[in-house]
Amino acid sequence: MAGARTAQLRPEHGVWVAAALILAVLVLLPAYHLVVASFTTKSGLSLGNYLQVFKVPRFQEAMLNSLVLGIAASISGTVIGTLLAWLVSRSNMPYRRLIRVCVLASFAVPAFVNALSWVLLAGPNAGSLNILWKALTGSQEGFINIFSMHGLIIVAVATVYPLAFIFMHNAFESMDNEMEHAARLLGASGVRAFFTIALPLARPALIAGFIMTFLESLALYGAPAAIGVPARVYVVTTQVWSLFEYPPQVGMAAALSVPLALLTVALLWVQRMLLRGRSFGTIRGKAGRWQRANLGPWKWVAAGAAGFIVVVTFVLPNAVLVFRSLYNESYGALSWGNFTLAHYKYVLFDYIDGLPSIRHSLVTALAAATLAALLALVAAFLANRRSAGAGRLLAFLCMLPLAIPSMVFAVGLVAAYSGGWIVLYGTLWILMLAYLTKNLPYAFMSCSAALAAVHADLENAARVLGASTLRTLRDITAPLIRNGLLSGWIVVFANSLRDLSASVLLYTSATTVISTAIMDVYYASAWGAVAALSVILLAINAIAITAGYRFLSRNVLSPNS
Amino acid sequence: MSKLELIDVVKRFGETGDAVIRGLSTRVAEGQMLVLLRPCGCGKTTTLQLVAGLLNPGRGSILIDGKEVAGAGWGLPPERRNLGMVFQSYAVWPHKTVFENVAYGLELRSVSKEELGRRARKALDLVHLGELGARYPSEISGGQQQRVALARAIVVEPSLLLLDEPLSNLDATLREQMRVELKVLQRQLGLASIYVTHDQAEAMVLADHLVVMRNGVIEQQGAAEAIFLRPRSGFIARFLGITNLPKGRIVEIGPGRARLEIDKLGAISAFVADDVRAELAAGATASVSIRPLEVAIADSRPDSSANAFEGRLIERIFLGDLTEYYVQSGEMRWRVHVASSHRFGPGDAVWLSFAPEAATVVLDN
Repeated sequence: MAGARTAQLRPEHGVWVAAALILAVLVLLPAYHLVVASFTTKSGLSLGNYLQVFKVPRFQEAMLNSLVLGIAASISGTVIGTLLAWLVSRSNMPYRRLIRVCVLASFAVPAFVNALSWVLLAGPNAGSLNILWKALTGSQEGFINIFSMHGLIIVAVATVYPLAFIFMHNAFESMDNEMEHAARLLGASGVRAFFTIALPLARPALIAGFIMTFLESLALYGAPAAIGVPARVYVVTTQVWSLFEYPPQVGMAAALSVPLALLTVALLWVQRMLLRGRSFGTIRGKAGRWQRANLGPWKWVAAGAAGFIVVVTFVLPNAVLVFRSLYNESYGALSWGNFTLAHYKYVLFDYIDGLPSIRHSLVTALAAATLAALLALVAAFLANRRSAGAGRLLAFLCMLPLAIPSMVFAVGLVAAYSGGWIVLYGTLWILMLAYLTKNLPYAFMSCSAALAAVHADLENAARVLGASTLRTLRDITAPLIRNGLLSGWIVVFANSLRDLSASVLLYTSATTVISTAIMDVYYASAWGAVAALSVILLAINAIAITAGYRFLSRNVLSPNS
Repeated sequence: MSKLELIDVVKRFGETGDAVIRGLSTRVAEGQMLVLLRPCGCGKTTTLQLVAGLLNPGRGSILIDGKEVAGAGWGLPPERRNLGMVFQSYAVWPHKTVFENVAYGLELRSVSKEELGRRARKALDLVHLGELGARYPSEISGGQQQRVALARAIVVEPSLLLLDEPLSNLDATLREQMRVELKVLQRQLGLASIYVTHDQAEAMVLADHLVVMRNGVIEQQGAAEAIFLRPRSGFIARFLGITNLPKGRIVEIGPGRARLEIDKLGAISAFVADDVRAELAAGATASVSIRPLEVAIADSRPDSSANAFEGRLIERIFLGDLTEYYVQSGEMRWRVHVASSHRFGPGDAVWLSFAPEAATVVLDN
């Protein structure tokens, strides 16, 4: 479809150029500084940092651990996620809607909060399960110790499996099940049809899910920091953080981060190659009513297993958070009188970083979301409605941050903004930049989808009637893409609130955010405060997401709904 | 002075892309409806987009009301051309009511509130949508949405009205009804218009001036009736209706008359137009177009008539008012239309005949 490709030079071209420059600075500058810093040693530019990274035992160990964690978590996570997705999407397992809601809700919980709640559950001394065990059995020791490589892997799996679930669930939902039907008519049982038909058909989603969970596990910081470090299991992310302890060794941190970024880029490229040419996960057939696989009496076993997984990964950790936030821990025995609001009072009013960190989080998240939405809108408009060449470049810049883990990007930001003519390190700006850039891809994807849904003729009609380009944007395009813009805004806002891996490198005592404040009280072993702050974060998160959805679904007039 | 003039307009896509429009020259007179007819494909919408200013020509120039609005590589933006356009997808804005849709163009022209209300309501009445002003597009039918698009375009009293296959998304009965209404409205308003379509019936109903295009060039233009009766090429003859198209070699050719030798059939005497004759000479190959209604069918050789051929009837199809006969004569299967009182049957030996005036020499393509 021929769009409005007028090649005239018009005043609004200035807007496009400005957007391109801003994007380049936002995305490319930190990347450039990251690479330069990795080659910068005390004796000038050299490979010294990289040599260290690959020769020093603790770094080698860290890289190995990261790989082990990544592989173990992604394989387990993909298996669990796929199984649950099939049970929810294609079988007659009871309570499947509830299971699905719980899995998606656990996706919304920030990763590090997950890790911390596990410590509150299964830490050898402070873990509620162990306390309960000791009280019930009178033994001196608990029965479960989360501080180990196994513990770390379990928590990582619990964190990343919802991602695999989402991929596979989408794939199963949109799959044309006539092929499975055909197999079943020929005599294959539901389970067999799953393994021989559904799974191979969903292979693109399977690969995508596996790669994404692997990359997610590699980029985790919260769980390795809360669980790995006490267990002396170090991974790349925790080592990068340790290199930032005073005095910060930015060059080394950069050299350690670059391989991680390269691995991410390589895997994403592999995924793209593998999925190229296929309509990934959307074999559009009559994806409507279909006959679900009848599990017979096994459906209760399935429900039990799924329920167990969900309870262990979602219900239990969050329940213990709420419980510990309201429970006075100096009392050993359980009793109603021990419930208290003291922890909330402490974090909100007495803890010096309490309210300020909440304020900082909200401010930076708001700014990041708004700026991301604006930038993404301009870029998406150019990519979608104007020249293809400039549009592709802008689209590439907007999507590039997907390939760079948060923490790596933070290292680049520190490298870029700690000296020279702009010093942003130590301010809220650098935090906002991290959130903004990291989430730009999501904002861009939202805006692109929204724009694509608006037929160019709708804008052309206005222009022929006499509206200038800017007027058309205001009167026609903007109202019609409002929902897409908003959902992009909400994603950036929520993601900014929950970030830890970038924040932990960029914050200072004056610029704490909720996530770093939680880690601070964690290191002080103030479990009640940890729980209370986490619950506050979860609450803000939940309010933002549900308010957003309420608003979006109420807008019946927009064609996007 | 013409309302619109296109002079040798060329448009290519991409660096060395094929020219989508190559050397288009035509004009629209005051109050006239020009119909651009061509088989499906690109080129039609491109022409309208060039006139509207959504694209700029590679070469050539475009004049509206005698003023040049576009030339090689440049053009006034659409908002400065004072045109009205009805899109194939209607492009009615879903977030505005019917009234707001129609009023938008007037808002842009800073028209006073009472005048805006008066003119918008008048436009809505003209398209018979008077009572639907407060509805949203999602609440009205496709046909009604199309009328909204029309009202929106005419309310601003444009110099020119552009219509891009506006009826193609409607069902058949609605389409037939709407095209007559469109014609009446256009006459009533005296609006110079360009209408683009691939439907030849629609084209012939609507056109004051018909332009038949193929592969980016104009094959023939003129009054619809003239083109139908005297097509220039085999393509046009087939495109504008059913025809019989025997092909042969020119034996002799002169002003207004030519004779061709058709293999296995015999000689045909036919009319030849001057511009077609200019491209042919004795010995060249050409075809002859004879419409099914012009062919007489009898059970014995007619006395007069130069063109008479023997054949065998293959099939008889009852079409209601007409009966269609398929007759094998020579190497060709002829289609003949007669009033339905005729009674020949498959297998009958018959004679086909037609007057030389009824046959037209057309160029091969």
